[in-house]
Amino acid sequence: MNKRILVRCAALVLLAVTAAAVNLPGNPLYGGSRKTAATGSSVGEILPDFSVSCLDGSIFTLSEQRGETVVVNLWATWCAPCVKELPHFDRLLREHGDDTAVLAVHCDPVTEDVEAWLAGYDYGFPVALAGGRALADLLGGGDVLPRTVVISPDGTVLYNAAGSVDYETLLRLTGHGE
Amino acid sequence: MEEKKKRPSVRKPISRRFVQVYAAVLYNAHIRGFAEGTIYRGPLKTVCVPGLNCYSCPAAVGACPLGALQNAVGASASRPAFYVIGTLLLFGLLLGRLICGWACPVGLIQELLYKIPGKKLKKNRATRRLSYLKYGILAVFVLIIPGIYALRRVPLPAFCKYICPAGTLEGALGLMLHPKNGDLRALAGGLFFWKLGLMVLIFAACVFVFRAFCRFLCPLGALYGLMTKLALAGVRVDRDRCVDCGACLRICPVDIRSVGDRECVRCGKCAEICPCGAITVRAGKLVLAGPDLSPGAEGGRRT
Repeated sequence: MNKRILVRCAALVLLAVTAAAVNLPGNPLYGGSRKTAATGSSVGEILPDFSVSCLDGSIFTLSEQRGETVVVNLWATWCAPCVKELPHFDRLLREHGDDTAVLAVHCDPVTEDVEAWLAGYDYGFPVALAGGRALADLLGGGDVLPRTVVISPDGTVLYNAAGSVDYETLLRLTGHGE
Repeated sequence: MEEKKKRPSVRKPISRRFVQVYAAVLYNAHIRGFAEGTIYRGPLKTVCVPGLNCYSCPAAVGACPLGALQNAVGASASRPAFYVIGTLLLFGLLLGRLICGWACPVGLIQELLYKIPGKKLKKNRATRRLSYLKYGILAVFVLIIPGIYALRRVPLPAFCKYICPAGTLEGALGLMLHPKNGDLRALAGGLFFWKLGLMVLIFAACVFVFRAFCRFLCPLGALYGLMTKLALAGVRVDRDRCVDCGACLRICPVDIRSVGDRECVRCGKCAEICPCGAITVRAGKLVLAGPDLSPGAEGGRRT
């Protein structure tokens, strides 16, 4: 009888500790709360400046791209639609790199060596790791992938939506198509 | 006059339903996920739970072993899936299909649906044949398709993408119904409605057919079933007490050929019905359902 009570108490404690750990902030097992997308990431707003270190050693700073249309793509190696559309961004950069900048941001969780994964491809755009929620939240959230953000030469957000984009849509959004 | 032989009372130290509910709550302890419309992203998410529970459920604290396996197969071109395979082997060899009957939230949902009044389809030759379908689904949707796409370096968890009703219910609907996830709702297209329709069909079938998804479609049950003979947990028959009356086979709600085979979900109904107390459901040395052999226990039912 005592053994049964002990087991039941242990089960209850396990449940209570797990629930407390994953739901309450301030402990190592907490999963982080959802933040409202930062002001400035919606269409028509001016996106706040940001700087991020890329895997190729370069630093991408949004304000340094003024005068060019900037396309930021939030993606991940484990996201099939993301992987399938990466060639479109590469093609966009190769064909219109004189007036368009592209940045690919790999969102959490990082489940493999992204640099090694990219080595199997010959993409020309810089890739950064989101490294937490801050950059993804600034761009509108990394909860739903892929997400594409298009910023005009003067820093205004022209497009910010989750979901795959094809090459024709990218051309249209960046002013290179009909 | 010969005294009528009394059936040995059955010892069940813990209620199977209680364990099922406990497991479902434990796997889904991140309740703030429903309030915020997002999923748990903490360190526990790298740990697989034993039963089928969608990674994308807002409340899920662990990873789904089937989703993890498909993703591991998808990434196998660049690195071997030691962690996932090891985890599945551990679960399968320790507990096997005890997980299906005692620690799978989808199994619980199916059993609750079966309680809805209505005509019930008893197992028959057709259901026995249909039970082989899940092995085909395991091979094609969990291993072959993700494997082929792995060669193209595109992750494609085909079972998750095209079939899994847990993913639709817990993941898709769990996230889409939150007011803040308008961008997710906007993405709903043909694939979503295919899976939604399939989920409704599967759960509707579960009202009339006991554990229809488990028996005919679940690749995780198929995988654990393949390890049945080696699993520490399972159903044991005391051949000295067994009189081959067949009551266990008749009462069993799934498509077993023999007690405790790879179709058995270790529900314990056979142990309860056995007139000779020959059947025990155990997890190692722990008896979950079996004859109460303690002195004075013959003849009454003890809970």
